[in-house]
Amino acid sequence: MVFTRGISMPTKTKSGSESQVKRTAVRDYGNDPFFVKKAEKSKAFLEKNGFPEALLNRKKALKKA
Amino acid sequence: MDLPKYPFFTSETFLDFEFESNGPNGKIKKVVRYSPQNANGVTYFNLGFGDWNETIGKIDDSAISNNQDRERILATVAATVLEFTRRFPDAMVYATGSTPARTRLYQMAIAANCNEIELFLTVYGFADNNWHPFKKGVNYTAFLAMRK
Repeated sequence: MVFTRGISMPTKTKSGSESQVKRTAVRDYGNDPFFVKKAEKSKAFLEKNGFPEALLNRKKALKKA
Repeated sequence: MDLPKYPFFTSETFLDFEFESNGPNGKIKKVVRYSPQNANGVTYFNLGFGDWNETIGKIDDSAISNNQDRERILATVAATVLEFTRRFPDAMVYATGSTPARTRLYQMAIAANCNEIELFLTVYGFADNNWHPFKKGVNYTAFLAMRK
C-alpha cells in the first residue's frame, strides 16, 4: 500500500487508470545530515569506481527515446 | 515470494518515504530517502535509510531498533525502490550501508526479495573492484539498480 501525503486527489498510475490516494505531509529529508553525508560518500565512491557500462548504456538509450 | 511489508507514505516529490515499524520496542518511524546526486556527469539517486529520532529532530544512524521485524522492514525498503523506480524509470539507484553490517542487510533485502525485484529491476553489485550483475551468495560492498 502506498500513500502520498498531502490532499486527496486522483492520480494516474502507470497503467493510465486513476486511483484515489491519501496525501498528508511527508517532509523533505534532503537536508538531514545523515542523508547528506551518505550522498556525498556515494558520489566519492562512484567518481572513483564508475558505473556499470550496461546501466550507462540503458540510460543513454532512454534519453534518446 | 511476496513478503509482508509495512504500508508506506511518500512525499509529493516521491524522493522521501516513511513507514512505521511496529514491535516489542513500540512504534518506530523509518525513513527512506532517495537523494539526487551526480558523479562524473551521471545523475543517480543515493538510497538512504534510517530511524527518525523525534527527540533530536533528525535521522539517528546509530539506532538499533530491534523490533523483531527485520525481514518486513527490508521488504518494505525494497518496495520503496520498486515504487521509486516506477515513478522514475530512468533513475539509477545506488545503495550501500553506513557500516559493512548494514551493507549486508541491503544484500539480504535484495536476495530475499529477488523474485519480485528481478521482475522489474536490473541490479549490479560491487565486488573485486568491479561491478557485476547481482548474484545470491556473493558479498558486495555496494549496489546499483535500474528499471528494466
